[in-house]
Amino acid sequence: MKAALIMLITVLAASAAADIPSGPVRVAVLKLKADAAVDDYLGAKESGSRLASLIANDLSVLAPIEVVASGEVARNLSLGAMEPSDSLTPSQARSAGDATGATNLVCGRIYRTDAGVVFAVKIVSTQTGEALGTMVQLGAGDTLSDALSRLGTQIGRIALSQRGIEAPHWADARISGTHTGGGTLSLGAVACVLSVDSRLVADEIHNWNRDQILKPGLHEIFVRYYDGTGSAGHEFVIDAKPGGIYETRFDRDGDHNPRLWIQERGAKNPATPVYEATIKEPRQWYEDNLIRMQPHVVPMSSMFFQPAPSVPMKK
Amino acid sequence: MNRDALDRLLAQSRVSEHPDAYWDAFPGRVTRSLQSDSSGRYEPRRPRFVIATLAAVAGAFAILSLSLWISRPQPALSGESLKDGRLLGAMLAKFPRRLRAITRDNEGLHTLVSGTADVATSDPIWLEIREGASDRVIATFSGQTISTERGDAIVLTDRNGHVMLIGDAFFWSQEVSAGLPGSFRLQAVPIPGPKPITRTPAPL
Repeated sequence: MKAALIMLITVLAASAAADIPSGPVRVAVLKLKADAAVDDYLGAKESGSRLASLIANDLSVLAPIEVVASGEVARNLSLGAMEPSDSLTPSQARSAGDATGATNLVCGRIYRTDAGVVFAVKIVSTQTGEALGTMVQLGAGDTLSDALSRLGTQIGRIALSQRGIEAPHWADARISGTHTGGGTLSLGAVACVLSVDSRLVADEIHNWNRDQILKPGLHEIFVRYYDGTGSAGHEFVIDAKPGGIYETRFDRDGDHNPRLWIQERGAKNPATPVYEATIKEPRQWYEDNLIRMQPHVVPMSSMFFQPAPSVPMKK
Repeated sequence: MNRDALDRLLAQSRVSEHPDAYWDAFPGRVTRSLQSDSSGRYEPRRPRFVIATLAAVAGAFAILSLSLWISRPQPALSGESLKDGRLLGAMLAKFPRRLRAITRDNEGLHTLVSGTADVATSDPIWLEIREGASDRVIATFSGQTISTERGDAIVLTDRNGHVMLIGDAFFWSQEVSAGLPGSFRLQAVPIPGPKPITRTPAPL
């Protein structure tokens, strides 16, 4: 009898799996629900919609996943029908998929906990109506960028599994600095990573060539230029691809301010716009940028919430 | 009941021909059938006349107590038949794409069935919820909604052994929870089942 019942479950599950269609995996991320306590913790109003766009961005670097533009979703889908705590019937899920072009819908809620916040999301297949979930915690010692990257990776794996696809390994990316000139008595000029998502790199000048790990997705990279007499710097936002290798770059004409940017090491493709940073005496530069060297939960760069595509360098 | 007998029984079943009272009593019958089937498997054989005598006594007892039994709450289930998916599997075969949950509480066994075949096939989950004096065991599927004293919540699994509840007022997972009183106790595990069919992505 038990064997017969297990066989029944197996047959039902197998028939459902056999119904899984092939084709692209297009994920739509809807606005997350968040209350005022969450906004207070993250220090950002409307944090639910901001974080939904960041999750969508992190998902977009995880091949073979494609992301449906948020504007397309908002135009074509009644958000009231996608409360995270509601069940969707297969026909409702199919209708939502037809309206948005998405194969998977992501909705969720952010909760305030004693230790920080929890991101909890539901992933619904628009082909079958199957609903699965995942969550990450953001607490002390963590960064928002890493938490969202973990969440994006977990959503990506589930979305692919709902299409019957085994997720590939999305490797971490790396970034290090560059250096020119110098000799036995002088360091020369260096553009190094001062911090990644507000985590300071110890002795950044001398460790300019040490790789810093970046999980796939958006990160805030503070680049410091130093030539022995002056310092300059800028905070960049980089959209790290899985397995990508990046380096901080600079050039400088005479006494002019240095230009800084980040690029892919091998392909030399720019990963950020070029920024002309003001050169200052090192102590003054440190004082001016002290606030950016303190640990903070939410990225300080406004660019973080409005990720722009890479633009050609202007040299 | 052997496998052939079960197949014949399922093939002959007609859901719409039975009154509501039949389906109210159905989970209890399935459970007793499962229990008697598994316990009988390990019993040593007895002489035929002893079995016949016992059967006659049992039959007489059953007839005498039938009227009392019908009006009572259904007997407590073996927790295992909910936790290992046997009962869920039997009910799912009877109500394909309609079964939402089976709940055992202080009053007996309840089956939540949709009026139409609109329930998505998803991973089965077992939960035990204790809220004050209330103690419930639920077998359901990822994506289904359950009610608690703190409001409704959707039950989800990540297909990797983790279960969580997302509610408007609370969140629960094995690792962390939010918005729940200390009197709320919950255990949840996925019910083992077949793994989904997967394929590797095509090279880009």
